[in-house]
Parts: sequence; C-alpha cells; structure tokens
Amino acid sequence: MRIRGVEIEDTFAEAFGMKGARVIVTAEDERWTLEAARSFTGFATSVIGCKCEAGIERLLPPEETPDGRPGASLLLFAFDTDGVGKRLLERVGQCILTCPTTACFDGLPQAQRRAPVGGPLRVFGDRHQASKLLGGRRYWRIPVMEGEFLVEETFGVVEAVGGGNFLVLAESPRAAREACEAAVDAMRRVPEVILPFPGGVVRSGSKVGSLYKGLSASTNDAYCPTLRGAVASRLPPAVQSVLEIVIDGLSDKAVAESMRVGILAAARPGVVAISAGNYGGKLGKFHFKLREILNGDADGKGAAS
Amino acid sequence: MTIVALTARGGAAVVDAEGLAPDRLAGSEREIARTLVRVGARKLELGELFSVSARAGDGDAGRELRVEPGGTLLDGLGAGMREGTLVVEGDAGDRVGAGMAGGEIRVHGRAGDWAGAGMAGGVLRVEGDAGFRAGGALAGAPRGMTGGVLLVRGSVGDEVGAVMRRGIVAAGGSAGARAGFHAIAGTVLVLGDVGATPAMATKRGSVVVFGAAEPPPGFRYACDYDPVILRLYVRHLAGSLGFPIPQRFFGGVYRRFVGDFSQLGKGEILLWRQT
Repeated sequence: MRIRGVEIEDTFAEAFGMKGARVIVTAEDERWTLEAARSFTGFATSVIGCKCEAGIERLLPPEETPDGRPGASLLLFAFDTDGVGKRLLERVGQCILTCPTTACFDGLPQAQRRAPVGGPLRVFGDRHQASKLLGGRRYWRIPVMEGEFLVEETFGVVEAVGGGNFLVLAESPRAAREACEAAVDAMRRVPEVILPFPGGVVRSGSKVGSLYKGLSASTNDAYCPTLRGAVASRLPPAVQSVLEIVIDGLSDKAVAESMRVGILAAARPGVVAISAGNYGGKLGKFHFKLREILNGDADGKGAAS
Repeated sequence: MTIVALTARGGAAVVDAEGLAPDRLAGSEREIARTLVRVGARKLELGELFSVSARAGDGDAGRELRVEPGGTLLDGLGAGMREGTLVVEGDAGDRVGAGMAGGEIRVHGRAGDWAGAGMAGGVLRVEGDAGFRAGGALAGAPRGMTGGVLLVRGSVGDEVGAVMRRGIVAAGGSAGARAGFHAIAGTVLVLGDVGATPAMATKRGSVVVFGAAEPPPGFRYACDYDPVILRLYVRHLAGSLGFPIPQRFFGGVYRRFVGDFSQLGKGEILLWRQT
C-alpha cells in the first residue's frame, strides 16, 4: 500500500490494556489552566520510567467546564486502578492543588470504578476542610493561602489502551520532524487520546530487553540509522532518520482513529515509509494493523497476524 | 406510565392526605377511590372528596399523580414518597413532600409549613411561596433535610432549613428569620433578603444570601472571595434543575463570615455582592 508515494508497511502496532482517568482542570484564565495542565502531565511519557503516562486531551472553553471557567481535559494512564489512583493523588496534590486559581473535576463521572483523590487530599485542610454534595457528586473545599481549592472526592477509572504507535521513516531528520509535526497536529484533534511524549514525538523508540543484564528496554537498534551495517537493520536504503508517535487512548477505536489521521498527515514528501512497533504479537492485547486502519477497519481487536 | 388524576369535588377545607403519593396509589380507579384520608377526626374515602381517574400515559413505567385541589388544602401530600411524579395544580397544605426520599413533586401554587421537612432525596419544586421551616425539621424531629433538593421560586418563611443535615434549599424570593437555624450541614441559598439571625447555631451549614443579610453575633468576617463551589451551585440550579437565577448571580464575589462560634464554628454565611 502506498499513500502519496509513501510505503505503508504490512505490519501492526502492538498495544496493551491499561487503566485510564480523565481530569478536568479549570482556572481563572487560560494561562493558569495551561500551567496546571503542563505541570500535571509533566514527566509522564512512559509508564515504565514515570509510573504513568499523561497528556492534555484538549483545552475546554468556559461553556464546557463545570464552573464556567477556562479548562483543560487531561488523560492519565497506568497499568492498574491502584496505579492510576496513586498517580492522580500525587499529581493533583502536587501540581493542581498548588497552582493558583485552579479547581479539579472528574471527567469520567459515569465510571463504576473509582479512585479516591479529593477524599485523601482533604486532610491538607487540617480539619478546616468542608465537603458539599451536589448532583450526586461530592466535592471538597480545602482552604489554601490564596483562597479555596475545590476538588472532587473520587475520579472514574476505565479500561484503556496504551502503546498504539507508528514509525515515520524519512529521508532526513527534518523531513521526519515535519511529518510528525503534521501528524501530531491532526491527531490532537481526535478525542479520547493523548500523545504522551515531548511534542507527541519519540526519537528513542525502544525494543524489549538489552545486552545489559536487568535492563528491560534498550534502543531499537534495527531502526537506528547510525547502526545500519552493524546490526540487522530494518531501514530501507533511503532512510536517514526515524521518529515514532505513541498513542494512549480510552478505547481501541480512538487509538485506531488517531493512528489513521496521523498516518495520513505524515504521508508526505520526504517520508519513505511508515511502519509500526510490535513484539511479534505475543505481548500486547491490541494489534493495530496499519493497512486495515487505513482501509477503515478501525478496530484493533483480534487483528494479529 | 400510569397517570392518576384527583380532582376536588369541594366540601372540605383541609384534608389530611398524609402519604398520598404516586408510588402508594395502586390498583383500579375504584380501589384508589377507597383510600382513606382524614378530615378532622373523621376518616373518609378519597372518592368522597375527589373524582378519581387513571389512564396510561406516555413514557416509562413510572407513576404520576396529578392533584387539582381546588379550594381544598391537602396536608402531607407526597410525604415519604420514594419515586414517581406528583403534580399539584394549585396550593398544597402543610408538610408537602415531608420525608420524601425520591421522585419529584411540583406544586404549581403555594406550599404550607414544613414543605420538604426531613426530606432525604428527590426534588420538591414550589412555584409560589413556602411557609415555616421549609426543608427543616418537623416538630420534635432530630433533624431536617438529609438530602434532596427543595426549590421554592417565591419566598420562604422562618427557619428554612432548620436542623438540616444535607441537601439544598433554594428560594427565589426572600427568607424569614433564622434561615439555616441550627443546621448541622447542608446549604440554603436565598436570592433575596433574609430576616434576622441567619445561620444561628449552625455547625457546618452554609447560608448563601444574594440580597441583604446581617450575620448574627456568633459569626466573624473572614474574607471576600470567589468560591468555585458557588459557581457550581448556581450552574447546577439554573442548568440541570431549571431554577431561574438572574444572570448577575453567575459572577460576583462573596463576603464570607464563619461561625457559629457558639457551636463548632465551621459554618458559613456567604453574602454575594456584584463586582
């Protein structure tokens, strides 16, 4: 398959089942909304090294937020519900509670599985905190030096998908970057997904294992252009640089749709091929076949080859 | 859905209809007409005072009771109700919705004393005014509302929300004396003025006043601020509950008074002012 002259390799992205939560943060203006959002989603690129993956799903206009102020929808993923709960507690406590003017709401109120966040955080109020029950949802009002921090007692946790991906194999580092930038711009318009790496892009894709004992992951040498000739390279001759885009989402359909629009945007002059990272299909529950996604088969389940 | 309609025949000024609620009226029109109610010391069948009709309506399997009271005041309408819809096409007597735990009551007129007293859930809407202790505790009861929402578009009498434990009371007009008296917790919002000594003896209750109020001596001024929780209340009331709130109340700041220091001192009075 070729799109605008770019080869779409007959392979698949292997992704994993995760647990996800959505945090709605609001603030007095967009500046402080973004400060809180960036702080909350910082150091959250890979669950292996950061214990969670997080990103900004989208910015919210005042008419879409619970308190009528500017806001942002943030997604956070971890391997299990307990992990999501711990990371939410740490990050809401350190990055949103501390940020001027913010308030923090659950973005998945229908979820049956709940992680306590405002409940444990309330003790920061040193017995001066107060709760209010409104529309079946409990909120904690925690007095702070600025005024008052409002946070919802629990946050919903749902099944999610982590590790959707595709690789952009390009004729130059610049061509790879520009293709990924175009892809990221398109993918950020898809709801229910985040791209957890810097600018949505990874330059250091990894493989499982290492020549060093005890190291669970190491550089994906088959795709490193500097190692062509030294290892069993997977790079076509014209390729001088490879970048990866990793996608986490609240559903396999959202991840597949994000991959679809991203690949379509990345298929442009200077790009030789688009591939994907997998582990032979034995580790991940979700297999997103690139060609099927582009043909409109957006469901990654059971598509392993 | 089954719709039961009761239309007053006249002849009784006050009827004790304690517990007359959509979830308690089952059976045919004839069976419903045999339901006993009190008029003074006498017990009468409902059919002697009201014409009864039952018909299938649109929608789900819930029950709706429509009452056209005419000049008759029915006390205790919807008391203890758990589900369904009760519509009163006129004024209600005392204790409408007292102790209700679910469903919705709409009174298209005034309500007497103790409207929604001790209610635990559901929504009680009163288009006109409500009397003494709306959402409060009945005489001798240890607490008032423990949940649910009481919306009065008009004014409320003295001691609205007295001894309430949880829930929301909102009044579109003014409130009498001692709003939120001895409230254990919960929230009373008054869009107009409140009478003397609001929130007196409250423990953790909130009395929010958009008109004029004078905090009692047990309260101390804390600060002027813009609490996010009030933004939620205003939007929740005006949005999903459809309670009319003037646009100017969507903004503004609040003067916060904490008290009552004769009790825990963890309650508050929030006085709105325009910025």
